[in-house]
Amino acid sequence: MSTGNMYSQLIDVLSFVTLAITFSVICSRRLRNVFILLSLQAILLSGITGLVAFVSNIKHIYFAAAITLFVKGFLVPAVLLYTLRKISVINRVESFFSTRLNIVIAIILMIISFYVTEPDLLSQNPLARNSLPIAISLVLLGLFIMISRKKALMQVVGIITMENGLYLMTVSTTYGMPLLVELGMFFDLLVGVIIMGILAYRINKTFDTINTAKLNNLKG
Amino acid sequence: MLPAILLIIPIITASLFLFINKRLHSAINLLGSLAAMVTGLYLSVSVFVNGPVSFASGIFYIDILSAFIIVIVSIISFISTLYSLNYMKVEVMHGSIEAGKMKWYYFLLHLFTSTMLLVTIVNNLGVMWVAIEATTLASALLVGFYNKEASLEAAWKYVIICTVGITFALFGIILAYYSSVSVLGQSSNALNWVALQEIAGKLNPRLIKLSFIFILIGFGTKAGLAPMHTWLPDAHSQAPSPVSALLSGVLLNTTLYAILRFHIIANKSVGNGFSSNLLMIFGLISIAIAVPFIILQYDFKRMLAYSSVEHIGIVTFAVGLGGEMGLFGALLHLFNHAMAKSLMFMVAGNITQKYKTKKMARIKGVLEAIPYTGTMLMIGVLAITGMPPFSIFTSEFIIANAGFSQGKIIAGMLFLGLLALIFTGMFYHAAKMAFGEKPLKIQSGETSVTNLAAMTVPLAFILTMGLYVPPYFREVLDQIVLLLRG
Repeated sequence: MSTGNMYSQLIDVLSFVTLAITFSVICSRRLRNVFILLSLQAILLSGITGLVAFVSNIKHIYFAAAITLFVKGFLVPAVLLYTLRKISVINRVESFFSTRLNIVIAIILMIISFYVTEPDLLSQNPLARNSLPIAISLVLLGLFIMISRKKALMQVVGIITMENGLYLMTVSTTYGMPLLVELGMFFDLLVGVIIMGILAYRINKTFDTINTAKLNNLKG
Repeated sequence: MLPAILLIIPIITASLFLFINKRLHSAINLLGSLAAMVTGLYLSVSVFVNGPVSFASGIFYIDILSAFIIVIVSIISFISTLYSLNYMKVEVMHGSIEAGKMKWYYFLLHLFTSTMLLVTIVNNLGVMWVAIEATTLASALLVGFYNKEASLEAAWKYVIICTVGITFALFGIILAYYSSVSVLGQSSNALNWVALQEIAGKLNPRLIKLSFIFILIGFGTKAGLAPMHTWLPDAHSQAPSPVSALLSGVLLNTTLYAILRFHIIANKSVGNGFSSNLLMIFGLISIAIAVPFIILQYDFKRMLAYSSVEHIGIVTFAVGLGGEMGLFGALLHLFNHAMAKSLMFMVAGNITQKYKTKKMARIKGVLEAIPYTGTMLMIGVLAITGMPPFSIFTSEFIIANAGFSQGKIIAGMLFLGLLALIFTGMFYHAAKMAFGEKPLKIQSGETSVTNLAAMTVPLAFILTMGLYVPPYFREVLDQIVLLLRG
């Protein structure tokens, strides 16, 4: 077995673990655990990025790996945990569906994404064997998290999950985006999470809850 | 240098508000936005005359299309900051906003302007994506600035829906980048618009098709195209009126500008028809969806917001029609709508401050209570529904004409029929507000001079552009049409 093949298999395995982490996010019942899982996922993504940098020998990808670790692995979860403590909300996730139904839907979404992605569409890069369907799974699961959970902060988690999926896709198919774009994306994500945190805090203060099902006054 | 200066002026102005004394707010606000407008107009004119400008090793690129959007952003940002002066003072007096928070308002307002300018002057489509997301983030807290239940709900929906939408656009951009990298190789300018449109013929059309669909859905969410428009009426009606004017008049246009950029590439890569047809369909759906919501509307600002959905639909529809006439009409309409809608939101601002409600049923006798504003309400509503002799009539007429002359009879009929329905709805509501006797507890008395001064600018464009489109303006539009046709 050539070393290149070994690396791509390692990347495959790590990508599957990131998917597994999102799966456990869907099964989680406590917000705090969800944020810690997000941090774990970012650390894994950073590891994958580092591996890609090593294999491709492109220097600026190491930089992207470092920022992923710092922004997504550390800062974003810290902001979320801080917001959670500030609003001292009951720590439960609260879904519209039962846990069993959540798991069934998540599995169906994963099967769909593996089924619909044409493997030859982005076939140039051998590193990308499974990452495209995994990325699409993450995007779909992120969307599912957003619409199935009641707590406002879980919608932020859904957005970050979608972003992680797309990030995985760029890293494994095109060795990431141009550095300037990547920096901008990290900046947007961080500022976005902070602003969503501020809004969640104010919503909690005004509505006495961050249950988004209560945000239904504007109609017509 | 000029593009960098243009970008930096609003950022400096914004950060000044964090340090300066409250008494200097008005002065800095006016000076900053005036400087930004003058720079923006100067830059645009120099691009109109001397052709595209590239700057900072190709990161910034300003051609005639970007210059045209910069003109709109500069003018309306200035109007909005001018209008903010008195409007926000009254809001503080009414106790809707704490006096101490005003510095944050101006800080966010100027930051918002700078992010919109950034969208128009970047070359790299990835950075353009970053800038468009930044416009959402800068304006989200402005939408929720009243900090009431309704405005917080609107701000939350706005930031969440637009961020998700734009994530789809990112997927589209990644696909475009992938197809570009397969042609150009790993290079930092593989996402530059100039490079992409040069190699458009070599890009994998299957990928570009997929990419355009995601970009249209993603940026279409932000541009307010139906059926992804659901955040728009909430956000535009709950924001303070000067911000609503910016959101409807400028922000939607800057996002539409991003779609136009991709439309040019998709047109060259996939061939005519594909992206045009999609744009036509989404445009017509947007116009159609606005009809019932305008006719059955109870809230003045929500009605204006739905009218924005309609007009963005009209521009998109016209771009989809294409051809010399269709594109010309689209660009003219973009400009005319920006002016008319910002005027209308300022009218709405005056009326809501007078009557302390947005509910149209409780607003009567505007002409009696605030005669100038009332007159502008009537002119504005006639203009925005496309009555002659006002500016929007001209552009809508050109668009309908383009549809019929291309033999798209059904689309053309549908277009005119929907516009007629919207006219009846909006005119009915506006007339009921303008005429009649004012409630006894409302005292007559016009709003401040600065408010009226701010409103005069768009009013002048609405009145003149219907009768006479200046030849140099026409020439600029003709050149953009050439660019759009590739």
